[in-house]
Parts: sequence; C-alpha cells; structure tokens
Amino acid sequence: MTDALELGVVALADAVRSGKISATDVARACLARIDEKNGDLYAFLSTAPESLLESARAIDDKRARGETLGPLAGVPVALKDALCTRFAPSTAGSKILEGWVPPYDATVVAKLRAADALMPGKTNMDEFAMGSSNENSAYGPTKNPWDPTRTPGGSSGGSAAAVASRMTPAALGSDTGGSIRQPAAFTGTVGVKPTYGRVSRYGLIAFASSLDQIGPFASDVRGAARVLDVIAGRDPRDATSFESEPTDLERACERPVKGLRIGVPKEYFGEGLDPDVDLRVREGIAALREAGCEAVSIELPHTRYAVATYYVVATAEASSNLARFDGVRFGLRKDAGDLKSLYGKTREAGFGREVKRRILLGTFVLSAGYYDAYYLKAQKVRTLIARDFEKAFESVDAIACPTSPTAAFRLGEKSSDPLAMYLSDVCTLPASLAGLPAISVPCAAAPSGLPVGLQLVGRARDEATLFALAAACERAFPPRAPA
Amino acid sequence: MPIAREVVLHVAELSSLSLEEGEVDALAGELDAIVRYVEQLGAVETEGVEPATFGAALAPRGALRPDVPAPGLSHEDALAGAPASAEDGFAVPLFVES
Repeated sequence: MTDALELGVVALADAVRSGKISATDVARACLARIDEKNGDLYAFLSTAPESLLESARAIDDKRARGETLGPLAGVPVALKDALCTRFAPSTAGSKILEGWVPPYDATVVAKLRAADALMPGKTNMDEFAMGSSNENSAYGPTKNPWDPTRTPGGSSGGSAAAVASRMTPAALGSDTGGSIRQPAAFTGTVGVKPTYGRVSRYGLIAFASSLDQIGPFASDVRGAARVLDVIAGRDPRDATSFESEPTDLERACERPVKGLRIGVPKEYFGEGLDPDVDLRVREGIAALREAGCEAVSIELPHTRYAVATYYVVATAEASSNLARFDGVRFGLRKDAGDLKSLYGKTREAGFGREVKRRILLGTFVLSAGYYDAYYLKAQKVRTLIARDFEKAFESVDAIACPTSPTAAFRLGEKSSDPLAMYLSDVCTLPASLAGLPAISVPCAAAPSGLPVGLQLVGRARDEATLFALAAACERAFPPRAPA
Repeated sequence: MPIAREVVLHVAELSSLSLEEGEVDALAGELDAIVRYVEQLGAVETEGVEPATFGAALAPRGALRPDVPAPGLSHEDALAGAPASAEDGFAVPLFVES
C-alpha cells in the first residue's frame, strides 16, 4: 500500500480522483510510512493522525457524492512547522512556542485544504528558520535519508527529508536565504523559492519579512509545479502578495526550451566550490544545451557581498519580528518579579543560541551609531546585487549555477563555527536579496552517491521559464530515491 | 569595530534578552567575527545608490484591501494561547506603581 507514496503528486492525485485508490488508504499508507521512517530521520516534529483521517474520509465522501475533487486530491503534503495550523502545534522549531496551537490557519494551509490535499503533520526545522543544517532545531536534528550521518540541509530540512524518503510526495517549506533550495539539493528533491510576493505569507511565523517566501518541495518537477499553482496568488491578508493571472506552471513544464539563453555566472564557480559539485552542475548545464538552450558566460560582480549583506538585513528584520515572543500572548513564560525581567528571562529560556546571536546582531546593526554603517549600507549593496541580475536578464532568460557549493555535509561539521555555516549559503542568498524566483533540481549524483542540485534563477514573476528548464533537466536526470 | 562584552550587554538590554554571565564572552567573540566579516561592505562604492526597501524586483507595493469591517479573531481564540490571563485579558506583572 505504501506504493501510492512512490507515485508522485500528479499520478497520485489522478489515482484518487479516478477512484483507483481512496484518500483514506493513502492517509493510512502515509501514517505507516512515517511510523516506519520517522524514528530514524526525525523529519516530522508532530503528526495529526485524527485530522488526517477525518480529511481523507471527507474527500472520499465528496467523491462518493459525485463531486469533482481538487488538483491535490488525496496527496499528502508535509508542512514546515513555521506554518500556522489549527490542527497541530506550530513551534517553528523553538522551545518558546512548544505546544502552541495557533488560532488560525496560514493562507497556504487553507488553499491546500481547498485543493483536497492531506496534511499529515509538521516538519522539523532550524529554530525560526535560522540555520542551514537543521541542527538548530530545539528538538534535535533531522537526518539526511541518503546518509544519516549527514544533514538534510536547512532550514526546511524536515520537509526535504520527508519528501526524499517518500513519507510524502510533496511538502511546503519557507525560504529566506536558501532554506528550500539548499535542502532540496542535499536530498535530491525539487525545491522552489517563488518570486517574492507570489505566495501569501499570512500565517508564516516570520523570520525576515522582506525575504521570507513559502514554496514547495516535491519528488518531481511537475509535482512541485502543481503544488505551487495551488498555493500562489494575491491574498488581501498579505499586502506584499501581488495580483496575477492564475499560474499554470504545470503546463509550463511541457514548454520547449530550445533557443532559451542560459547565463552561467563565473562568480558561482570559483573558490570554495567542491570539484564534484562543479562537475555535476556543468553536466546539468550541458544537458540543457543538448535540449537546445544556449549557455553564455555572464558576470554578477556583487555576488561576493551577498553573505555580508544578507546577515545584516535578515538579522535586523529578525530582531524586530522576534520581539513578539515575550511570554505574554503565546508560548513560554518565565515568571519573574517585574515585567522587564519576565521578558528577559522568558526569552533567555525560550531561544536557542543561534537565535540569540541573530537577535543581538540584528539589534546591533539597527542601533544608534551603527545604523548607517551597517544596515543602510547593506540595503544599498542589496540594490547593487539586484541590479546585477537586472543587467544579466537583459541578455539571458535564466541563470544556472550550483544550489550549494558542496553536497550534504556531516552533522556537527560546521555547527561550532557560525560564520562557516553562513558562508555555505553563498549560492542561494543573491536571488533572495533580489526577490527573484529560483528552483533547485537534481542533476547526476556525486561519486559519493550524494545528490547535487542545479539552481536555476529567473526574472521576477517568470517561474514558468524555470519550470520548463527544470523539467528539461529532469528528463536528462530522472528522479532518484535513497535505498 | 571589535564587539566588546559591554556592547553585547548593551544590545542584550535593547533586545530584552537576559544572558547568563558565562555566555557573554563567547557571544562577544562570535559576534565580533561576524561583524568583522560584514565590514567588507564598507569597501563597496554606494554613492548615489538608493537603499533597497523590498526585493528590487517587486510588484506594485501598498496594494491595500478595501477598508471593510470583517470578523477577526474572537476574543476567546486570541486568549487561548496565552500563558496567563486574567479579567478577560492578558495577565502581566504590575508595571505602573499606584
């Protein structure tokens, strides 16, 4: 029965819609698979079997009444624990929100439900999405299904591991500086960071609001397209979400890529890039050439400032966003004599080391005397990084580069050196700072057998071209799952 | 600009974050390394460059919805997750002397 979970999003939804398999059977298979795998991997922080089976029954009843089922009929979609859900606790991987059940659903959760998806539970993540390895989860790290001594990446590592191990064919994550794309690359899954504003952030526990964007993971490109088609769109509850025609990214996967111009930025292929990753990514680009694309060398000269820029902008915004966790309205509270001590003690007990570090750094760069030199300066450099892309897109249709400079690293390898961990995000940060859409799609495995991701970055709002190219890449390197 | 322990203590105060004594020096060292790395931004020529607000590629901003009253979170729901409530509100220690 677990075979249903190997089908992928599109085939599984078709099977449920046509009655070949019931949503209830899918839900049971999913719970069984989680039961079998989660003890070792720790991809899920919590599951919600009752609400899962109840939704499944409702979908089966709907079909029995002759109603048409939605595009994700009976498809289990795992949710990163930063997404607010009424049916399960939403901790964002932090002790400060342990056990907290939000009083509302995120917009993406409501959209998944309306599309008849199943939501089995909430996935592990770096605390408040701050990290690149899931080792900053207050509840313990997720393991990489390809090699349990290695990290699945972060911060959406639990969602990536759930899909890679086929506990679910799809998942949602959030990407602030690479938190969907890098774990997708590390686990051999497809991961998409949409254009900033493509998907409503309502109900996403905020890290850095000018960068945060929700997006899908899936076991194949078309599956990711279908999930993104479901969750995209303007939402009156998020003023940064934009109006657009409904997307048809699933159809874009069929689009010919012949004649598209692909920019290959030399700054992404320099020092620090693992030779095996370099080789595989170049093979991925060669596959696009064989499909009729033209690859040209381009320059994105401000790339080397992206890490510094990001760690100023993101921490500044985080220091402000995380001020809401004060022991008064939700979550943990450490009672102390007066209000100020209550705030201080609650936050001391509730936040982990990396979160404290980022709150302090963000407060520092915004504080009197340092604002101009750090925060304002970083926002100006951010403009220059965005201009590099604008110039490049005058002559190319998309940009191809590595998603991460290395394949999955070992648990513990970088956790004692925050700066080394930050530097591992170098390939994903620029597109985030510019608000551009990007996708990570698997290319051939490294000699070690570990997955490698090719990152494709597109013009603002042009996810369609990215899906066409990712589908072409996938035809050359079909999806694989760990043994 | 090295981050000394005094800077960490000042910023922690601004952040409403208590720190254990033993943590302060370690955090100062870590933050110092990060801030030194970030200082390379000082070398970038930004004369006449506008600071980014949202991601530069972004859609028309300020798309506000019509100001129409609609049901919001109920009082009960809003209080449901509070660690302490009293008199139908969030409970906090006394902070104004009578």
